[in-house]
Amino acid sequence: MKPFSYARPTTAADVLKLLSPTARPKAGGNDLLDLAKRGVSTPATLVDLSRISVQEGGPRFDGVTVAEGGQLEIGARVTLAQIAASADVLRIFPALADAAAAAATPQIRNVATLGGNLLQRPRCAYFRDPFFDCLKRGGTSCPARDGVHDEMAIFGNAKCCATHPSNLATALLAAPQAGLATITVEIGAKGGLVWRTVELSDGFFVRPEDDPLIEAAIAPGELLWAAFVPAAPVSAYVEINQKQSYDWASVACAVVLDVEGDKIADARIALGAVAPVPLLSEPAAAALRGKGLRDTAAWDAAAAAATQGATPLARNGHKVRQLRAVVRRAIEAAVARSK
Amino acid sequence: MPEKRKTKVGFAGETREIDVTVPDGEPQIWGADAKLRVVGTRVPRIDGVAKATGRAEYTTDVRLKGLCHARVFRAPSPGGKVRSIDVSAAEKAPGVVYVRVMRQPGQPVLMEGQDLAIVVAETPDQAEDAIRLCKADIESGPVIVDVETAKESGSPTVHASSDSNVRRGGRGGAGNADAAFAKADEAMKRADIVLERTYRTQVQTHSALEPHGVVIRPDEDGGVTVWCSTQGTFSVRDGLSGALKIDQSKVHAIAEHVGGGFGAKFGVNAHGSSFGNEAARAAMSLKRPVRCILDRREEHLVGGNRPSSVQQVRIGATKAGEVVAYTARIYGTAGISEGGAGASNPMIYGLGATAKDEFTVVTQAGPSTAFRAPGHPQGSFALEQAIDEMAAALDTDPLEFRLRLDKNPVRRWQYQEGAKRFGWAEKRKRANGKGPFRRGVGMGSAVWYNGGGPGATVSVTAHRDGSVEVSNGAQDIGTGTRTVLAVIVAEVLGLDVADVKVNLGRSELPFGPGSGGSTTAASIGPCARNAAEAARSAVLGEAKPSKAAWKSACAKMEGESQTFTGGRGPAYERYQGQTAGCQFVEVEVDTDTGVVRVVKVLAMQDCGRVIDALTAESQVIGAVIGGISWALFEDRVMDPKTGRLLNGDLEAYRIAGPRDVPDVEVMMTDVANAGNSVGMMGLGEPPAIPTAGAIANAIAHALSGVGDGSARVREAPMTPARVIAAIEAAERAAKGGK
Amino acid sequence: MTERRGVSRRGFLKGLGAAAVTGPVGFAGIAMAAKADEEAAAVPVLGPGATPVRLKVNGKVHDLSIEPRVTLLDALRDTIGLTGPKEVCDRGACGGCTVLLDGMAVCGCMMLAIDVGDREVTTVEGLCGPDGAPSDLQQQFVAKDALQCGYCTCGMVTAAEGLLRSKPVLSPDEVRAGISGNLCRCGTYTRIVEAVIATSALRRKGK
Repeated sequence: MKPFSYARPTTAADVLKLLSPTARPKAGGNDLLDLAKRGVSTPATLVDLSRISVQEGGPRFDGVTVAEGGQLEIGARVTLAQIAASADVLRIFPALADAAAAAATPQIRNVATLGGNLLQRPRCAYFRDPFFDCLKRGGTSCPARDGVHDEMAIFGNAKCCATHPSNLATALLAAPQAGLATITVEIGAKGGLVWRTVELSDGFFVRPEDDPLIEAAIAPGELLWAAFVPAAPVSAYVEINQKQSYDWASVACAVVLDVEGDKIADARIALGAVAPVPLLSEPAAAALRGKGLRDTAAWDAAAAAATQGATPLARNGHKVRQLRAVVRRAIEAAVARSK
Repeated sequence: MPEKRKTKVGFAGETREIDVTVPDGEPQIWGADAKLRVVGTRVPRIDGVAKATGRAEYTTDVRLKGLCHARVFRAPSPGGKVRSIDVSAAEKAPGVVYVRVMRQPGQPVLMEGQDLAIVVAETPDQAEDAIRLCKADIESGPVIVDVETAKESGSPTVHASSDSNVRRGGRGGAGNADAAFAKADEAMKRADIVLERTYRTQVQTHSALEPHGVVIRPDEDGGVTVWCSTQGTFSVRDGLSGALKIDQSKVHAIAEHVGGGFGAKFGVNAHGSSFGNEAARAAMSLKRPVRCILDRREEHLVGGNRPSSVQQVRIGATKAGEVVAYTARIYGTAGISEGGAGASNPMIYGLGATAKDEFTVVTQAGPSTAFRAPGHPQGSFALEQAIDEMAAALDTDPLEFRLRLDKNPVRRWQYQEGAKRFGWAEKRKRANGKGPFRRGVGMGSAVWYNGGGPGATVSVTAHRDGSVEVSNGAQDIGTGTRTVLAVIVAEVLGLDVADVKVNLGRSELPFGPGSGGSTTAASIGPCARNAAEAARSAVLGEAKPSKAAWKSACAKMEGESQTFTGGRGPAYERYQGQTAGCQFVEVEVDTDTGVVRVVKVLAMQDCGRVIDALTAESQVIGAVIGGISWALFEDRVMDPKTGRLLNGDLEAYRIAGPRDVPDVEVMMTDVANAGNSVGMMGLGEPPAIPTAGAIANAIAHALSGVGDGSARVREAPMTPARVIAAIEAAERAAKGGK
Repeated sequence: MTERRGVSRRGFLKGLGAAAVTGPVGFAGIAMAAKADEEAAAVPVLGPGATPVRLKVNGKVHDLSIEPRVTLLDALRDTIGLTGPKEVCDRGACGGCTVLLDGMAVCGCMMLAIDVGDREVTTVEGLCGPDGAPSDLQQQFVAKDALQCGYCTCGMVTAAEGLLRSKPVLSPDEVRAGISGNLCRCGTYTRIVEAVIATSALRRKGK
């Protein structure tokens, strides 16, 4: 790693004043250090987030809380291990606990945070090696498309075929109206702190066609602060890995079902590791709406529908079959959580 | 005078008496009827506590006063010739004390990772910072990393001196191949069924957890002390003695604990980098100790690897089930090495006329080197599948078929005992399941030949207080050599294992071999026994060995201590000149996702006399797990356009973790084999051979109910993508499509 | 940079029950001007050169002078001189550098020493008794031969200790999951599981 300096603010305001394209916030630091060690990222300053206190009056940066109305608030600094073990998460939105438990390794889950997981950069080998010309690093082409792309995107891969690496993002996307709070310093004379919320399914994820340099609509001077998740107890997240001990998902799926009686009134199905951003599959959801909860033909139809429009590359066609399987299994796992 | 002695040899399935010519001064062999107190029991390794508490010192742990740190500046990709290497900024960087260019203008850059320059600095970070300041101007050149295109005539060549990338005669030499093929082709005419199949295996990197590394300290007497992560203490001594032109006596090589080797760690360098020699030159020039440890990417690039293979196999059999011929044309890449690819197909089975032709295809990648049973897992992956495919064609159970083809008494016993224990017959017959998860079983076999050899000396020192030291310069790379010596000496002297101190891994101790070919224990174990017998007879005389007897005898002996040495000669007559093994594997295939899970392995393995059952079983478990990892996960991936390594880490280069392997059950077949005074044979490599082929066979069995039943994965690693491709082909075939 | 996409307050409201409105929407657009306006005390900025870092390791306090970029692993090995935690992959993929932070397993290679703060670092050396005697878990690793070359062992033992502290009663599958961040190239997993299960049983008996 190149040398960097290390700022230790104790308030969110100070953090925000320090942040810049070369001064990056550091929480768990797993992705940040990996990128720095590979020479992909060379921050001049790391801004430590571990000492800032919880803001009075705003959502919390730490902890899992249950708000009025039963929705979950999860601070961006909460670790994956805490999410996976949280009884509240398991009760209110179990898909998120599934996703957190499936991530990385026990050691990494003890350190990695919700915010870092959502904002981590793709695992594409070409992106993570400064040797290559890569769109995501301001280059002109995608070497993976004509290179080795066995694990890469089967949707939305025309420009860049890196997949979005966050399984928590996939889970959150499946929750209706799940939102993120970010915090920034208002531009202008007052320079006050400004919160904004953004719905995950409405503009948080950035496709390479729109801007290949980023995956999330967070400005350099802005900090991801918390996530809000309405209750979605009939939900599950499932991923398929080649290796069962620490591997990135080949395909992933989160399913949220709105169950009325023994019918599926509504469904949301999010697909992970198959596109540069997590995707909501409306055709898959449509195949379940109004169907019986245990109508396995409808599950199969939804699984097949989820693969509609896939554009696999020369070496990753197998992911289409895997996607069908993981959607089917995620539906089954969600149904198992309905009483 | 050597004398012939009647000795009982054999194993549970068969014993017999043979005449063995025992060289002068060697004790009576421990035969099948030997009553042994410690040998063959379960003894925890004697360096276990040091390792489990962090106190064991590995090369990477050595810290010396005034130590400086070296890093190698490496080529970012293959290219043409070096135009220039500019290290001027590095020389001026903070903390830098030494820089030397290792590749001169005009020399070619054959691969990513090629040594370009070495930088030595006061701290590791300063060395790394300085490396970033080095610049190389390299001509562009063709990229030659794909084996299929590299082997075409007209392909640009890796080595400018030759007009082709193809070298015939990987291991055995080309001379007889044509004649053997002519004979096999003739024999093949008798076959009713001829199967032609192509099997492929990938490049595997050793990925020992401790990287290659040295710490080199110049000594006052003009010599050096070198700590090295090596599987050959004396190869390090000899290498540095040659490179620095100083006497062997003045090079002290130390390999007290070694974090794995698997074939990649001989000498002071890595196979693809002369970092050790360069670090030594730097140390001599600086008159300061220098440390140079490779990082993980360097390990993948220059640390050595198992070559790939493409094996075009023909097997022919009569309807009656006689195999009449087996031929294999094999090519593969060993990187920039001009040999070493190919595959070994030892004649486990009676296959009639056999023929093999091997080619190495040179590509721009790190050179290969020996890797746990070099060539054998590759050959076995093809052979065991071909046997199963022929068994299927003959509608014969694969185990029955092997019993018909295999005459080795130990393996025949292992097949039958193993099958019972594993539940082969029931599992083979059982329906594989109807849902997406299908189970299947498969098997494979192993043979190995080495029982060690002469050249080494072990000393046993008796101290006045009754304590005992056993010394040999060879290393323990995790195999349990240290413990094996302690067990043997304790047995002879009537002591507990804990009473015996073993000194290993220092070149000032008596010579011991490098750990290759599974020969270390069997080479020095008999020496230890012979030295201990000399000590027993001198110190104890005719007294019955016991702790008390030994202690009182030592108290009375002349001098403060007495040292006895033992060697061993070539193998003498024995039960058989090979060891036998076979493995039974059960897998579960997720047919929707292509993910394969190995759910059970039973490994039957013979290593001659088992000295320490606990560590012997560990060796077998480890070999099987390594086999699973190679079969399902590992694959060095190069970018075809640039020749740059894409997975130079331990994340995208997948190695089996705790959840990827089942509990491996091991049944050691203790064979009183004679051959040396202990009856030892080699163990490290043979159990690494059959696992992948057995897994492939189990996958095929699991998929026998899918589509037209023809699904089989003939390429390793057997990834989800390849399993799915095989399944989808079988599904299409069942629908009548192609 | 991408143009900031709409805050999507409307989208966020869509379909939310009345009760939920007090949640996220309540925060949207709130300016906490009072806090931000306060003239903050100068934020300490350390490095990039060597800076004082205090580490509590195995019960001993170490005052170091290291650059902010120095990882906990490098500080433990290169500065403090411990040998237990090993550098293997340098990316958090193998667990060879596992240490406990207030009893919780983390990878020393993916943590900066400067980030450790007041937390107590325990390495494999720190699991031993005061006289250096091996702990029950370390003894079980030896007894079951859950190690070969030994290079992964320190990380394995430490990860397993963290696991046992968080969950004293474990099934074999839970042990495998709990140490799934650790790689062993010699292939000792079968016996590591045995050693951890045996230790768990011993500890329960001891209570």
